[in-house]
Formats: sequence, C-alpha cells, structure tokens
Amino acid sequence: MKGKELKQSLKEALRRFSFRTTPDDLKRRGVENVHVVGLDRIVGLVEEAVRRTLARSFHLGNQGAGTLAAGAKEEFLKLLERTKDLEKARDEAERMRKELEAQVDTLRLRLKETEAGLHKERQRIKETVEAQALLEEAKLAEAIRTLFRTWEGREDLSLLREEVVGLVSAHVVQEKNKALAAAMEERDEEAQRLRRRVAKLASSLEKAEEALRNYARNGQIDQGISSVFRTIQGLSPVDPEYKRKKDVLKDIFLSNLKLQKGIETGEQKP
Amino acid sequence: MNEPSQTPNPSTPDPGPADKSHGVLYVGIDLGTSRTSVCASNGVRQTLASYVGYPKDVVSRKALGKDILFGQEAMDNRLSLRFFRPLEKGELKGSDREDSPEAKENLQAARDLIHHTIELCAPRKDELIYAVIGVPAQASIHNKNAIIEAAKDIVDSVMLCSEPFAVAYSMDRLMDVLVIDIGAGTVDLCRMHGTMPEDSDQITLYKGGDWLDQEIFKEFKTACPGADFNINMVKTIKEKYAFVGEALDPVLVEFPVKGKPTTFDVTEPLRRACKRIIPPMVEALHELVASFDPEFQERLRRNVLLAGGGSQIRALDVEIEKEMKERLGGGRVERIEDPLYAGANGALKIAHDMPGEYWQQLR
Ligand SMILES: Nc1ncnc2c1ncn2[C@@H]1O[C@H](COP(=O)(O)OP(=O)(O)O)[C@@H](O)[C@H]1O
Repeated sequence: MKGKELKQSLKEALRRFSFRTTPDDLKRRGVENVHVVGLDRIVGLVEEAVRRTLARSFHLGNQGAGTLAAGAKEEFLKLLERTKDLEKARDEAERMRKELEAQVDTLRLRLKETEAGLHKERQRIKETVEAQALLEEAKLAEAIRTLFRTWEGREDLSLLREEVVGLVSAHVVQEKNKALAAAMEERDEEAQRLRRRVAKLASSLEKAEEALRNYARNGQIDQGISSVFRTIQGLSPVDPEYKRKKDVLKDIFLSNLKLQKGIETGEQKP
Repeated sequence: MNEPSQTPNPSTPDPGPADKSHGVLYVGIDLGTSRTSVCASNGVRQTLASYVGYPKDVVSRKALGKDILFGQEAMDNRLSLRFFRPLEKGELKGSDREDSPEAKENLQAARDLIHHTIELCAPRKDELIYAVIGVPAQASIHNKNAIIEAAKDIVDSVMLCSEPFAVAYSMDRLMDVLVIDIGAGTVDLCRMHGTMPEDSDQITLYKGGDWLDQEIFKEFKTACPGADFNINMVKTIKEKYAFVGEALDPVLVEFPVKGKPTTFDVTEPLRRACKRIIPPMVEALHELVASFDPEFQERLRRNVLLAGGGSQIRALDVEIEKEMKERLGGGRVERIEDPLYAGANGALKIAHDMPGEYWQQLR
C-alpha cells in the first residue's frame, strides 16, 4: 500500500536527520526538561499532516510543490502543538491525582485522629460510669446485708448471705453500667460531636477514594474530582458546627476588613 | 517549571488574565516568637526557628553562598551574620519606632521571613495564594499592619487571626474554651466564646520558656557547684527533661567541672524551677474564669487547652488541674496533640473554611 511506503520512508528520513543523545548529555548541556515523542508518533504526525495538505491541495486545484511542502509543515506544527497540549493536560491530570492522594491521606489521618478522640471520650464516660457503679454496688450490697441482718441468728445463713450479695450486685450493676454508658453517650455533647465528625470524614474520604479509583480506571480526572475538592475545601454545610463557624469566620473577615482598609486609606509607607 | 496551563475541565472557561487561572493555594501560618510553622493545602508542613541572618561582609557572603539565611542555619552561623529574631517578645520588633535603623532592619527581616515561609509552600506561579496568619493575641494594630504589608507583597489575599483562636479552631473548640499558650517569651491566656477574643479576654504573662530557662539556670548554679554551663545548655536540658509532679527517673546531666566531665543529679532543682511556672498561670486562669458569664464558668473551667512548646513539660496538665482544684474547685486541662503545628493547622482550616467572597474582598 502507498500509506505503508510513505510511513517507512518517513521513518528512515527522520532517523537520518535526527541525532542520538543521552539524558546525561542533555543535562550537561543544561537541558532540564525534554518532551519525549516517540518516533512512531512523529511519523504518524507527519503522515497525517501530509495527508491533510494533499486533500486540501487537490481540492483547491493545481499547487506548486513548494506550497505543498509549506502546507505540510504548517499542518505538522499544528499537530505537534496539539500533542503538547495533550501532554500538558496529562501533566495537569497527574498533578491533580497527586493532590487528591494527599487529600485522601489527610482525610485518613483526620479520621483516625477523630476516631481516637471519640474513643477517648467513650473511655472517659466508661470510667465515670464505672466509678458511679461502684458506689451503687456498695449501696446495693449494704441494703441486702441489712435485709439479711434481720434474719440473723442461724449460722448457715451467713454463707448464703455473702453469696447472694455477690451475685445480685454483680449482675445488677453490670446491666446498669451498660445502659448508663449508652445513655450518657447520647447526652454527651462531645461524643455526639465526634461521632458526627467521624461520619462526615468517613463520607468525604469515601468520595475522594472513589474519585481516585475512577482516575486509576480510566486515567482521567472527571468532574467528580473537582466537586470533591470543593466539598473538602470550604466550610461544609453538614459540618456539625456550621452555624457557629460561619459566624466566627465572618467575624475574622470583618476585623480584617477594618484593619486592611486602614492600611489602604491610612499613612503611606514605602 | 510548568507554564501556565488550563484546567482540563472543559466546563470552566479560562477567565481573563490567564496567569492565575489554576486555583487557590490555602496557607496557614503560625508566626511565633521562637518558631514559625506553616501548613498548606498542597500538603506542605514546615517549621523553622524564627531567625533571619544576613552575611556581615563579602567574605562571609562568599563562604555561606547565600544572601539570607533562615532558621537553624541562621542560628548556627550567627557569628558571621547580622542576626535577627524579628518577632521577639511576641511582637514585630521595631514596628513601634519605625525610623530607627534597627527597626527598619528588623522589619525587613520579618518581611523576608514571611516571604521565605510562603516559598516553603512551593506555590505554583499560576495559583492564587490565600493566607491566614496567626499572630500573638496581644499584637498591636501597628504590628498587625506591618505583618499584613509584608505578606501582601507575596500573597494575593491575607487575613490575620489571633494565634490562640487558631489553636482552638484546629481542635474544633469554638465555644467557651480557654487556651494557654506557653511560648518562649510569653504565656498567653485567652478565653474564647465563639467570637474573636477581645482585650478583656486575654492575659499575657511574661514568664514563658525563656524565663523558665533563667530559673533553671539559677537552680543549677546552686545545685551544681563549680560546673560550667550556659543558658543554651540549660534550654536543651529543659526541652528534654522538663517535668512537674512525680519524677519517673532521676534526671542526670553532665557538666564540666574545671574541664572534667562530671555527672549531677538535677531532678529536684529542675522540678522546683518548672513548678514555678504554674501559680501565675492558675492565678490568671482564675481571673479569666471569675470574670466570665457565671452561667458558662463551669464549661470554661472544664475546657482548658494547653498549647505552645512549653505545654510539653511533663505532667503539666495534671499539675495545673490539681492547682485548679484547690483554687477554683476543679477543672479539666487538655494538652493539644501537635504543639508545633496546631496554630498553623488551625490557620489553614480557617483559610479553607473562609467563604471565597471574603477572600475576594480583601484582594
Ligand atoms: N519539650 C519541651 N519541654 C519544655 N519546653 C519546651 C519543650 N519544647 C520546647 N519548649 C519551649 O517552648 C518554647 C517555645 O514555644 P513555642 O510555642 O514554639 O514559642 P513561640 O510561640 O514563642 O514561638 C521555648 O521556650 C522552648 O524552650
């Protein structure tokens, strides 16, 4: 086929006109970044350029060889430009991927920290409850003892007494502990806040990871990622402290507005 | 470096001037007396000592191979440098007497430090930089202006906030929190009730880390007769062993006596000196709690955050709680987890959360 011949001769021509070099050699000459385009790619580009020019030229009628060559060159440069754009876009996508990865890392870390906080808070509640339970236990035991004291007089009863005391109090207190801890966690603002935060972080993390997986699958940054970025950056409306934070941020802004307008209108400094 | 490029997202057409089309880099800075830390939305986290130095003459310029040195490197070479700690005593040194040559040089050093800090974040040429800078709560308007001016040279939009607020924000504690920031020059106590703290919410004590170094130094002088040591050695020992309350292990250090290395047990003198940092702090705590809305005093007492390098003194939280129990009838003190970065982290969070239109208006 004609196309094949053209490709082959182009390849050879390029080989003849190009020179070989090594990355080290380039570095020595001060070149830091090179765009590497494969030989086949260039051949493809030239071929495509020639084809387009030919098509256009025949359509227009008779053209000199010089015009033909100039046209081919122009087309070639255009195509090369497009490759560059593509590469740029690829670099960009790569950079976004890295940023996204960093975001995922940060989110993971924050999630872990928050979970640790929640754990600590639960621990604290547990300790409080346990301390209280000990007290309850003592009270209960005392009550049972008093009860048995009224039956005092028969030897065998004392053994039975201690056993009953132990059994009853352990059982009752254990059940009560559980219920109390759950109830306290419900009422504990800090635990609530932490729980909401864990939920929110987990969902942000999930979204970011999903976006990252999408990227890995089709090698493209889709719109989803920028929306994930948007939800991560900027105060989230589902933030449990949304309203309060909004007010606080406004406060900071207003005091800065005052401060900085002062600079603008105030004394001139070098 | 990359040329300015468009986002691959086809639905956002490139707006007017192409040079800042990429997006926003958010930066949070904690501008401390002894340490400056920075966190940025691209993941950069850096901290450096707040020192700046310029080579004294051509010879040192040549030997050092740089026009400006920062942080520890400046400290290490300070003999061949004009050396500055531009934020000494929690303020921009010299910003009150602008005309003196010393003041001018200090301001320049502060400016260079802020520039350097931003550069550490490796911003792209095509992104906007929005920065929140945490400054000492008691910084004067004048100091603040100087900091804003310095930052404006290099960032697109900047906001200041008080440093203790940034710390509380980093922990999501916005209401009824009392932050104790134990820095080098000062201990800053600041209570927060959901808005920006006012003057009446803050107390600054000048008995911070540097003062503690002096106290330990004095204790060691009597406890280690004949020993040769200086304040820098004391500071290093403090940062390694400082504690209050029960001693876990005896603290043994080595000082030369007439040139001969000698071991001293400094457990007691170290504890004695460290303990002295507590009473003035609890006194100030008491003052801030007592003058607070009675309805929320209990919450405030139970919501004390310990921040700053000095918060790492071992068992300080427990001992403050003990002292609070005696003097205020109780309280809960929590040490923040990441004293080096808490301020910068909080500032970054604020920068993130701040609505875009606010940033725009300050550009
Ligand atoms: N582990 C430690 N134990 C006790 N003090 C420490 C420790 N680490 C740092 N410091 C002290 O903390 C002070 C610096 O705190 P920092 O918050 O960085 O200061 P600033 O806010 O003034 O820049 C110094 O006095 C330093 O010696």
